[in-house]
Amino acid sequence: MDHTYVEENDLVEAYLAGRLSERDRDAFEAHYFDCETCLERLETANDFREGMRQVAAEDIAQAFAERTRLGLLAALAALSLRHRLALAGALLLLVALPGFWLVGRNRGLQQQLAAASAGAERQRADLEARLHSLEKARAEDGRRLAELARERPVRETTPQPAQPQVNVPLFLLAAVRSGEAGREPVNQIPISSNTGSVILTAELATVDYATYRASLHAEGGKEIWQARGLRPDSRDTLVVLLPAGMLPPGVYQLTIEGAQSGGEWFAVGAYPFRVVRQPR
Amino acid sequence: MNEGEAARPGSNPSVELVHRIVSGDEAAEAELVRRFSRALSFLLRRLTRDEAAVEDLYQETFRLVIEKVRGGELREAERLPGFVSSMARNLFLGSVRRSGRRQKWHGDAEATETAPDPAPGQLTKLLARERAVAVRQVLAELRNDRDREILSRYYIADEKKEDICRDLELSDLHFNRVLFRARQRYKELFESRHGVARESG
Repeated sequence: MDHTYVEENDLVEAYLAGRLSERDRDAFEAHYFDCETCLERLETANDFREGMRQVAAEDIAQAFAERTRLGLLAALAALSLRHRLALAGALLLLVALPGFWLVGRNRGLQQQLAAASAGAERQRADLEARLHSLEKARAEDGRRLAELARERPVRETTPQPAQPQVNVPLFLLAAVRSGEAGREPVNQIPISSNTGSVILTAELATVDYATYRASLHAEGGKEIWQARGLRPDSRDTLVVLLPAGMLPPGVYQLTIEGAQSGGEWFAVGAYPFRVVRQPR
Repeated sequence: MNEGEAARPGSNPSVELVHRIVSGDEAAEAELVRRFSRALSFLLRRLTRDEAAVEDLYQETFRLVIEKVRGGELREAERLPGFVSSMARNLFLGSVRRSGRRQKWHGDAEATETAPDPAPGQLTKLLARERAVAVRQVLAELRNDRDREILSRYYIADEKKEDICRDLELSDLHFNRVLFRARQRYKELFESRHGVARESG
């Protein structure tokens, strides 16, 4: 297939109109795939054909719209005044109906909104009341907690009622002279592991002082207990009850000093002793 | 490819192109696409107005053509243009059969005018309006009503050339001249509106 044949037989238009046989169509397609000129003509002719159809479609649509408009006007003109008024009324109603519907719908929505607002307000008041009661309860809890916190140290520090103890070990401590310091104490105090307390008695050499104080020192001189404002009993003896736990095995010295009221302290007696662990 | 049947390389652009593709020249494959791209787009748009289908068929056609040419399945290299066009048509018919659209199109795969137009894009609508404006001007510039009648009856009413010529007592030559002048004028107007030569689509 060549150009002469294409032009003589007007294949471009025939192809676009779908009037070629299958064989000619295939041959022409093979030709224009390889022929710039024929492809150009095809594109132009096809576009023009499409444009013609577009114009026709637009004209038909416009003519239809025009005819419809004219037809309506003609029909309106043919109506009597009464019918025209009725039609105008109907049209007015048709236009107004959506407006009424919108107004009604708007009113309904406003009512719904008001109801929703009232409901929300009630909920808010309820929540505020609950919040208030919770805050009150929290304040009460805080107050009770503070009371408990205050009471706890008191409870913890309050000594438990003393339980009766039997066969509490009692030791009579012998005083030593100053020259005996550093020697093995003569006072030996055996304490078993289940001993709760021990009683130490120290007979005083003098009871001329207004007040006494007792000091207990462990080996090395570390003071582990002291008590002031003591007064000897009727047998000029100071009696001290010590928890056995205070006295692990070792050497101790109980020192008794006396003083006149507000005056200087003077040594009254020194009572070294050794605590030894006694098997049960 | 059968060397005995093939024309000598260089004597025909298609033959030369096929030889280069067979020998593994990738640039020749790109050249094949460039050479047939416009015609293939035109053919596919005649077959379907579904732009997505056009795109798919375009890709698939070139893929298969290149694959077959590479594999030496094109026995007569000079028939490359027809090979591409028939591949496109066959793929289109296959896709129509698969989707069952052929029945909807009343059995005529090429009757694109009656085919559904799936959501034409803005560009398509704009081009249609531009075409209509140019055509209106062409029609307005025609010297007499008879020429307008020729164009309307031929392009819109789809009447046969012979019938129109007989009715209006026209010669083939006159009829062809009217159509040719109208198309040429349309082309001038369309191109002047867009400033550049139109491309397919």
